[in-house]
Amino acid sequence: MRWRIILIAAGICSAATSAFAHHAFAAEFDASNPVILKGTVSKAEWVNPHSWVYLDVKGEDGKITTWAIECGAPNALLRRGWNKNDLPVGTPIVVDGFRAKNGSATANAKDITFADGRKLFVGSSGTGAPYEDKK
Amino acid sequence: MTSTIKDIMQSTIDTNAEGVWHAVAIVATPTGIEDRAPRDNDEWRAVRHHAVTLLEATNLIIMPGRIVARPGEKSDNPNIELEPGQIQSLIDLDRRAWTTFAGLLHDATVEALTAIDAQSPAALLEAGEKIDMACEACHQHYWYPAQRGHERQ
Repeated sequence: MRWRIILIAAGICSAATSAFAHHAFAAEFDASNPVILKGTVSKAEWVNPHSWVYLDVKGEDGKITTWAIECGAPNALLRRGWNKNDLPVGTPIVVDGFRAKNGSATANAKDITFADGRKLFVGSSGTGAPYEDKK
Repeated sequence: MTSTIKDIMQSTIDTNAEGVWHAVAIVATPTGIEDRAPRDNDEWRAVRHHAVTLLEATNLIIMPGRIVARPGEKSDNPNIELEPGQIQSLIDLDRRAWTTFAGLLHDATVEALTAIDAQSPAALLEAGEKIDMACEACHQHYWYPAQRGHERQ
C-alpha cells in the first residue's frame, strides 16, 4: 500500500512507518506476483497489527538485499504453533509470499519453511489475501 | 470546520492505535530475543494516553452529522477501496451497524486500558490483536468490502 513506506537502510531494516496501519491486501501487494525468498533472518519483530521479518537475500551477483516480510499478528502466529524463539537472527528460512506493488523489497508472506522442512503458515487474516480462501 | 471521519481515522485512530500496538512486541535482534514493553510508570502512562485517545475517538466517529470525507475527496485505490460517497451511503443506510462496529473498537480498547492499568504486556498484546480485528471487521464492511470474498472460511 502506498500509505506504508518501508525503509531499508544499511542492511538493517527500520520498522515500517505508515499513515495507516491497515490496508486491504490488494492495495499493497500483488496476488499475481508471487515470490519465493531464500535467506537468513536479520531481524524479526512480532508486533500488532502485523509482524515483520527482515530477510537478507543474496542475489545472483552476490549482493545482499534485505527484504521486509509482512506476516500475521503475533498471537495469531503463536496459536498456529510458532514460538517466539523460532526466528533468531541468522536463521535460514524460505518465504513463500507475494511482492509489493510498489516494487520495493517488501512482501506479504504466506508460509515460512525452515531448513529442517518444517513449514508454518504466517499469513495475515482479514485483509483479503489470496491464501485466506484456501485455509 | 469539522473534522471528517477520514480525518479522525488518520490523525487520531491510526496514530494512537499504533501507540498501543507498538508498546509491546517480541523482537529478535543480533543480541537476542527481546520482550519489548513499557519499562516504568511513565512509559505505561504514555501508552495509556494513546489508549484513552483511541477510546474517545470511537465516540467521535459516530457523532451524528460527521461526514466520511470532504466533498471531492477520492479513494486512493478506487478499484479496491470504495469511494467516500459509497462509504457514506453504507453508513447512512444503517447507522446502528456503524455504531456497532465502533463499539467493537471501543470494547477492545477498554480491554487494552485494563491491560495497561494492570501493567500486563501479555494482556496488552492480546488486546492489541482484538483492536486489530475490530479495525479489520469495520474496514472490510465499509472500506474494502470486495475483499471479503477472500475471507477465511
